[in-house]
Amino acid sequence: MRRNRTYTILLTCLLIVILATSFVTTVLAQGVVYYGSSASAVRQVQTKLKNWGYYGGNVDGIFGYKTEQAVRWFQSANGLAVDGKCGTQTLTAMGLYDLIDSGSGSSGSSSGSYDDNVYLLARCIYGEARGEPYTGQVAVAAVILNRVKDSGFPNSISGVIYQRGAFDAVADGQVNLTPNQNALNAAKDAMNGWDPTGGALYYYNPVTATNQWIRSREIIATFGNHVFCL
Amino acid sequence: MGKNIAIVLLSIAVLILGIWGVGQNTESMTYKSIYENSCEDCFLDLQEALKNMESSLSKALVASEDNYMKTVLLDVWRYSIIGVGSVNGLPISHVSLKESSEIMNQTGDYAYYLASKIDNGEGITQEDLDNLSALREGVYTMKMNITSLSEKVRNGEISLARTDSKDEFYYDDSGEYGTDSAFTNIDKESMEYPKLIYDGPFSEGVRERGPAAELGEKISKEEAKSIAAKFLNSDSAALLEGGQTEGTIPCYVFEVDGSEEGGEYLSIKISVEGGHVIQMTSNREIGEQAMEIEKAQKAAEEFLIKNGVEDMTPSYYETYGNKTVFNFVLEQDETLFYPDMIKVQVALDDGQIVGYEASGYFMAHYDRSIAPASVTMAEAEQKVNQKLNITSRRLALIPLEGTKEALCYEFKGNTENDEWYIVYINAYTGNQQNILKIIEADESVLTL
Repeated sequence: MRRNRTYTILLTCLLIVILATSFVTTVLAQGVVYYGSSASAVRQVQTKLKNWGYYGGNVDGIFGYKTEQAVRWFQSANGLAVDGKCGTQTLTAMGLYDLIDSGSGSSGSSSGSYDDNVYLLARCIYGEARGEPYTGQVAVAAVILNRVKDSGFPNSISGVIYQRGAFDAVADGQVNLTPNQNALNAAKDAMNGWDPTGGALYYYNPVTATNQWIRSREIIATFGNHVFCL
Repeated sequence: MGKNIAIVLLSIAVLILGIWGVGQNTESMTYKSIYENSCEDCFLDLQEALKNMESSLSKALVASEDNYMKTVLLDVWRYSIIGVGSVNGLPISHVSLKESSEIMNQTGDYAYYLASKIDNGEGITQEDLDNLSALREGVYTMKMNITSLSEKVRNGEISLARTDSKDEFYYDDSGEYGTDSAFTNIDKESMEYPKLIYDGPFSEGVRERGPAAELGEKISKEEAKSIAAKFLNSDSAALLEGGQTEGTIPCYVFEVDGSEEGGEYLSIKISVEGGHVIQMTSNREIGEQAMEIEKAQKAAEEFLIKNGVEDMTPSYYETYGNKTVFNFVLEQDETLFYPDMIKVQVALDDGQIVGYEASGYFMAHYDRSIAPASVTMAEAEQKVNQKLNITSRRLALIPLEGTKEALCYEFKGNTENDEWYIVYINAYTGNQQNILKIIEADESVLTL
């Protein structure tokens, strides 16, 4: 009996912990700077608040009571909903745009200096072929650009990348990862005319591809694990 | 006691989970209906676009006046763009949509080409009209297919909003999804679709184009390897054989793979015919910029000369990832040949060459016999907008849509608020052929 009771209590606690974590992760994932956020993000918020005179404490990267009070003061002074958390609106008001998506203030390649289309292309390369040799990455980008130029496909980079079933990385969300410098360079090289494949419109991994249709295409090049075809 | 607490806690947990579940369900229903609505929207746009394309094509076929014909041809082009955009917004495999996109893209592009033909004072021939008529048949067949699909959607037999994720990479051969097969049925072969060769980006001529240059005799892999080694200034023993590529210019591929030691991965392509260096890519990690752009450009120029590539003039350039891509253009008889372009990438830390692209050059270059200009430079300059303060002028051959080229006078100049432009005036007709805007940013000079 007693044993059972202990189990029940443990189980209940476990459930509550699971619910609580799911709540916390949702909040953190939404790019909110609050208790427990990464030091670099908190430090940026504190610096802003201190410069504007809302915050009197140290810029220590720890979101504590004083920081929360400062955020509340900032929010009420700027006509925002006062909840003490730095959500999208508060971060926008502070001009901390780069914290909005990541929440953790993670560093990575900055997307700032790249055109949106180049950045999307780089994300697709990174999602599809980050483990491939560099030429293979440029080749994947070239396939996308060859499709943009071909009459059988949409006429823009985003149209081609988001076409249904065109890229696995789009279907499983890997396209949303932050690309590295290699992927960005590969995207730019392809846009500047580097096409290692000589005009390919498709590619696949011959080890994993099971589809008969794609296997019937004429292969014109091989780089790393991918074959490229017309 | 403990038992009661456990029951209370459990009940609370169940309650919270329940509320959360209901919330999730409401949310997913909202997303589903937004998704279905957007599919519906695309589908209706597609039907509308096809209907309008067909009626405009019919009007073009009975038009008796150039001006009106041009108007309806441009309508065909306009609706084709809407059609291609909306068909590709549908959740249908890209393989099934290929021919539908082709029919709409080519019809629109061909209509645009005929409209510009009228603009240039060239007449519409019987062949043009025959092609238009065949294209109208294609668009009509497509429209009928979509109409029957639309009926099935309305009866609830088929849902447009397909949400599966299983093997949708290619196409649904099981026929489970009526949407896919409705589009797979649309194929050019069954509709006597014409083979269109004309001056436009979607002409079959562009797709089937090979290199314009005479590449030369076939060479062996060993010969190619020593050409690659010489180009890279390295030992041919260090080069791995990376197979062959077919495609527009068949090539031997060689690689240097230092990636396991965290080093550079490099690959180089040598054409099977003639043994020309076609392309080189490298992902060498490049340190902070340590040289001026001018010095990097000098390195690129010297590299070309060392490899026997002559008469190349540097044009615009772009910097990213601590390397600069210099675009070199062939210059002969004081004329720039923009189609004949070679690109060289220079690492800005030590001036090493980290990329080379000459396939564009071999695709375009041949011994052109160019008739002398019939418009003088002074006459052409009169045609340039007075707002521009012209700083330089010269002759240049520029590529047009499709495979055509045009000899033009190139005028470079700036406006009062220091915006720079390049204006091209056709050297035979005196018409304004193109205007490019020069963009200077981040150690780059580009044109738009």
